[in-house]
Amino acid sequence: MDEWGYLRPETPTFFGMLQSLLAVCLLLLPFVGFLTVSLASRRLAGPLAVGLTALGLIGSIGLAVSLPEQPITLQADWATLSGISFGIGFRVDGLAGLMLVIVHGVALLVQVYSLSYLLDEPRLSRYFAYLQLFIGAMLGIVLAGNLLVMYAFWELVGLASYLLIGFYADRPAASQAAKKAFLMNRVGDMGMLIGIFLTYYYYDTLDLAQLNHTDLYAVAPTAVGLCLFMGCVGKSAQFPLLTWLPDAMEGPTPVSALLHAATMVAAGVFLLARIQPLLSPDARAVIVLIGTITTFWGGYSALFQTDIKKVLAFSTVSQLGLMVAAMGMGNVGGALFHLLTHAFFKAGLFLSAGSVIHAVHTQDMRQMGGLRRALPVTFVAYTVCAAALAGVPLFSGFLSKEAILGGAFAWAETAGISLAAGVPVLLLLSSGLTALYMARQWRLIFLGQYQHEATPLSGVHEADGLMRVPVVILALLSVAFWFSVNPFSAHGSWVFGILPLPAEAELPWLPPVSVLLVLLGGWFGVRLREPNPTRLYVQLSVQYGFLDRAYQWYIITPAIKAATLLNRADQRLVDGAVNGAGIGGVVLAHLVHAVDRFGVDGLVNGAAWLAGRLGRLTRSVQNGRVQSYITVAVVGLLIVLWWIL
Amino acid sequence: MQSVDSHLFLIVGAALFSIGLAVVLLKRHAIVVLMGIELMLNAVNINLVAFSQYDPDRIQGQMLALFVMVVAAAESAVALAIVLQVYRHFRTAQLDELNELRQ
Repeated sequence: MDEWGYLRPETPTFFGMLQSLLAVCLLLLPFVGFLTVSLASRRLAGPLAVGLTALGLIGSIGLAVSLPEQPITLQADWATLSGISFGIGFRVDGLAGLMLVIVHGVALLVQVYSLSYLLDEPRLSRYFAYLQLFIGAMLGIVLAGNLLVMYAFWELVGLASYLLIGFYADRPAASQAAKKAFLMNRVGDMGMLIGIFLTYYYYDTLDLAQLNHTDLYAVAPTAVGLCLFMGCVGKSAQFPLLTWLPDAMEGPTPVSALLHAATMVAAGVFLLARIQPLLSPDARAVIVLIGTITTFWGGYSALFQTDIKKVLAFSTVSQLGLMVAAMGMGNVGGALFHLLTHAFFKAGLFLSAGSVIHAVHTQDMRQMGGLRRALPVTFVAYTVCAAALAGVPLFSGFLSKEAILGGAFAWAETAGISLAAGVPVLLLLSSGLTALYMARQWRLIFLGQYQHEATPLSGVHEADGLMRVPVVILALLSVAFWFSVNPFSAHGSWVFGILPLPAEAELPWLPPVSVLLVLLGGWFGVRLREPNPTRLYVQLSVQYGFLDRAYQWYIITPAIKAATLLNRADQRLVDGAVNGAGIGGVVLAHLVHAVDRFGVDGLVNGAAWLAGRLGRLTRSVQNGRVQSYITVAVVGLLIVLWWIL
Repeated sequence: MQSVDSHLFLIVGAALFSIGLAVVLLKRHAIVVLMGIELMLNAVNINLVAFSQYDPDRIQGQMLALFVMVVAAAESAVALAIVLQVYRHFRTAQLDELNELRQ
């Protein structure tokens, strides 16, 4: 190992050194931005942040394009505790390069959008500073070379998300949501921390490069994989910790776009990509199961939401479930490809939704309708992004979903678990569900009659260019052409030049069936009439499977009760003991006081009293009468004489 | 000269001394007390003279008795002067009323 703090690239060529330097600069840039932007004035903060991120985007594209075959790694000793050295390490490979570009790209567009969206916000510089912190933390996860560093930035992402979700701190709902997001993430992070400890316990290293030498180990213990996966469950809002994500919609809309597309929820998926060798078959089965449940759960929950952003939030949950399931199947390429396409179209959807909210001043979709004429640009962008999300051919989502579904069917054939065949079918159905709820949302917003009374339709108009341009760019990036020249398959495209190609089953029926499902879902979504919101199946969707209520009943209320009980026990027992000791002390003090008073003081006073008595006695002799003196003298003389003689 | 038993002298002397002492202790008037003192001194003189017969020169005891008389006279003169002053000052010569020493 090297000297303290000396970062040494393992490929010591000049070019390699330059790339390492670039990676470190990219990581430091947002943190520098965090400090400078937070000190900048309101007007300067936004452009400064945008400029920094643009610089980062250029740098990361440069880095990603010029990546060598071997990953660039940087190592340095960080702390040595009782002979065990913990390193600080960074690692830049194809995966990290891809993530760098996604994070910077989405972050740049979101910040440009924020310039206009949050124009009237008084705490603008703080907002952009938090965004920089968020980006920096995410870059730290992406570039981390060992699990310890990753965990540090992981927590930083949690902090930044807390700050941003609760950005409107004067709204109680926002601060509640921020707290909820933070606490639920903590649950997952605790598991991840234990997982890191277990990793160190079994392998004596936390370095990702060393952990990736799969041939060193036979089969990883299941507990390691599951504990690390818990971190992903929290960050990527998997079942059962998914309820923080819809609440996180309380944050500003551009933050939602960033959080859902690039910076936060992607972290969990990225973690799974990094720890692939540590996942045992049992752990993988659990991950696939959780991912599938999440996909379906999120999809169903999105179905009857009335808040425009909540539909998108649950669609994110659903898509993340899809990615996690793919990760569990070992289909890293498919999952990351979906992460890439999802980042663009989901950011596009959120920013479009932001434009809609900006125009009509409500988030309730039931009050919207008929906006396609008033907001033509948003309408087109929204349609493109929604089509990509639903998996319509010619759009990017179709390609990545096919990669995942194909991989899922291939996995089901080889998995050897009897229920495994159900997983890809469920995933396929969920993608039909995606089309259904997106079509419903699309219809509610853009078709039909405008119903919001507070804002007349004549007052509804497109936002300015700063908000339109990012939306349009993101919509353009949701088209299949950028990812693959062949719009029906991503095989042989540049994406799988970077990412590992998923093992796909030769299923000629799969694309037609999925297209059919999408069209069916879309048709139902457009044609379906709104059901009565009091029906159980609607409530089940709107309250996302009563998960929050279940938590309230089974976890929060008992926890509060237990806390009250403990509090009472504390008051009775501990405080009682303390108070008893106090009372005992007072009693003892009284006792001592009495002893003092009657014993010690008594002795002193008694001595004084005795002296007084003696004095009075002797004084009585000195009575001033000459004759009594003489009497005494004579008696004394007689005694002396009697004594002598 | 017929000698008298010396113990008779001693008895008279002792009786005289005792009477003088009693007067000194019991009487309240200063002048009477002084008279008691004179009695005691004279009792001593009797003893001195009585014991003087055993002296080979028979002179020492008598000489001392004479000396005591002189001293007693002087003492009486001084004491009477004091008593006079006391009386002038306190308007009384009763000893039990003179408790100025006590203060």
